Amino acid sequence: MSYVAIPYLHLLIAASMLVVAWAISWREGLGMGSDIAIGGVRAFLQLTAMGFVLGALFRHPEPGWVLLLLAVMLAVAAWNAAGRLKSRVPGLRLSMLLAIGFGASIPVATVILLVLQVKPWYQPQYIVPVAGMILGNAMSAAVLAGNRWLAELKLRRAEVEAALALGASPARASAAARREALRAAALPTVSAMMVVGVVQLPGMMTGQLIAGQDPGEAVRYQVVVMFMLSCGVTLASWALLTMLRKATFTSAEQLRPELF
Amino acid sequence: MDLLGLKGVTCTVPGAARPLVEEVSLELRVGDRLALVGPSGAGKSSLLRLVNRLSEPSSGEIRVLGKSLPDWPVRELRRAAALVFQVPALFDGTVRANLLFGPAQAGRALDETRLLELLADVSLAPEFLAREARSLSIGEQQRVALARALALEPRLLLLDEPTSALDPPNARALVQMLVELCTRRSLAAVLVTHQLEHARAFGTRVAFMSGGRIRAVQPVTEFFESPACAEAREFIASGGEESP
Repeated sequence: MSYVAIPYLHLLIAASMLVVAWAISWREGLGMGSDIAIGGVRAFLQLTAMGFVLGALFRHPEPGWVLLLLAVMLAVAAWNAAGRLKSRVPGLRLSMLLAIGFGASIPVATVILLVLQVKPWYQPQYIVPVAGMILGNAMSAAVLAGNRWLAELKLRRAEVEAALALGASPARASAAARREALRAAALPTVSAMMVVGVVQLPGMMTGQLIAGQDPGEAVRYQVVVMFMLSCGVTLASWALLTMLRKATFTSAEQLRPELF
Repeated sequence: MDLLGLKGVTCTVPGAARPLVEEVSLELRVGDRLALVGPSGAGKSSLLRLVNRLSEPSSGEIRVLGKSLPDWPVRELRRAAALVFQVPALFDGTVRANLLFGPAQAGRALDETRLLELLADVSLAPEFLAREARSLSIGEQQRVALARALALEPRLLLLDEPTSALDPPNARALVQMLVELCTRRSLAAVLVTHQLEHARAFGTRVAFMSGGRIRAVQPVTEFFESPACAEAREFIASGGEESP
C-alpha cells in the first residue's frame, strides 16, 4: 500500500482554494470573510492538534486517555450545538450533552464491539474516527431537530394551544411538531444513503481508497458507517426532542412564554 | 357557589410597559353570561387564557367551581372551563375526528347520537361529521370549534371573540346560537367581544375592561343606559371598536 504524502508547502497551494471562497464572499458582500479566514485557520490548527493527540494515543493506547478524548469531543459537540439553537431554552447544554452522548454511544458500541469486534475495544485507530463521525453528524442533526421543533411550535402555536385547551397532554399537543423536527433531522442522512456511491464517495471511503485499501473492503466500511450514522442521528434527535419538550412546556402544561 | 371567581388577579410579562391584566376581581354564577368588552389590548383575551391556565398569573387567585387553579389537575380544569379561540384552530382530519379529540384525551369515546347532538347544538347538519374540517368555511369552522369544546361537557364556556372572523349576519347568528345553547345546557359563559351589539345580545351582565383593569361590571341594560365609568360611556358613544 502506498499513497502520496502532502508536504506542508503543498498545504499552502490547497489554501489558495479557500481564497476563492473568501473572494466570492467579499465581492458579494456576504460578510463571511472573517469566518472563512478564522474557520480555515481553526480547521488547520484543530486538525493538526488532533493529529498530534492521535499520534500519541496510537503509540500508547490507554483506555483512560481514549475515553477522555471522546469525552472532550462530546463536550465540544454539545457546546457547539447548544450555541447554534436559535432560542435560549433552559438547560440546553446539558440536554445536548445527554442527547448527543446517548445517540452516539449506542451505534459506537454496536460498531466497535459487534461489527468490527475490535480487541481491545479502545484501539484509537477505530474508536476515535468512528465516534468522531457519529458525534459530528449527531451534533448537526440535534441542531436541525431543535431549531425545527421551536419553529414548528411557533408556527403551530394556535393548534398546540387548542389541543392543550381540550385537555391534551403536551406530548399529544406537540406531536406534529415533534414529527416534523425528527423528519428534518433524519432527512440529510437518509438522503445521503440514497445517493451514496452513485453521486458521492464519502470521506471515510475516500480516505481508505487513497490509503490504498482494497475498494471492496472500503465499501463495506462505508456501508457500516451509513447505517451507524442513521442510527446515531435519529437517536440523538429523538432524545433531544424528548428533553426539549420538557423544557418547552411548564409544569402547568403551558408553552413557556419566554420562548414564544 | 361561584362557577368562576377572580380575586386581585394580575399578570405581568417581562419587558412590557404595564401588566396585561391588573388587579382583576370578578365572579360568575350559574346561568350568568358575561360579555367582556373593551378596546383591543385591554387584556380581555389574556384574562380568558389565565382562567384556562394557558398563562400563569403573577399574583391573585382564580377559582373555578370553588377550587383554586393550582389545586386542579390542569387537564381536568381545561375540560371544566372550555376555551374557544378567536381562530378555530381545527385539526387536520374530519369534523368527527375533531369532535372526538377532547373526550379521547380523557379516555372517553362519543357515540353517534352524542356526535349528532353536538352538531345540532351548533346548527350544523349531520353530513358535516364526515367533512374535512379545514375545508369548511370560516363560519362553519368556528361552529365546529365550539362543538369541539362542548364535547368536553364543560361547566363554563370561555369564548374569545369567536365572531371576529365572521361577516355581520353570521356573527349575529352565532351569538344568538350561543345564548340559546347556554340557556338550554345551563352553561355559564364569558364572551370576549369588541362589538357592543354582540355584548347586548349575549350578556346578562357586561364587564368593561381597559388598560388591563376591569373598570365596570353591570347588568346589561344598566351598562348601556348608565355606564358606571366615563371611559365606558365614551366606548359606547363611539359604538365600540371594530375587530383589528
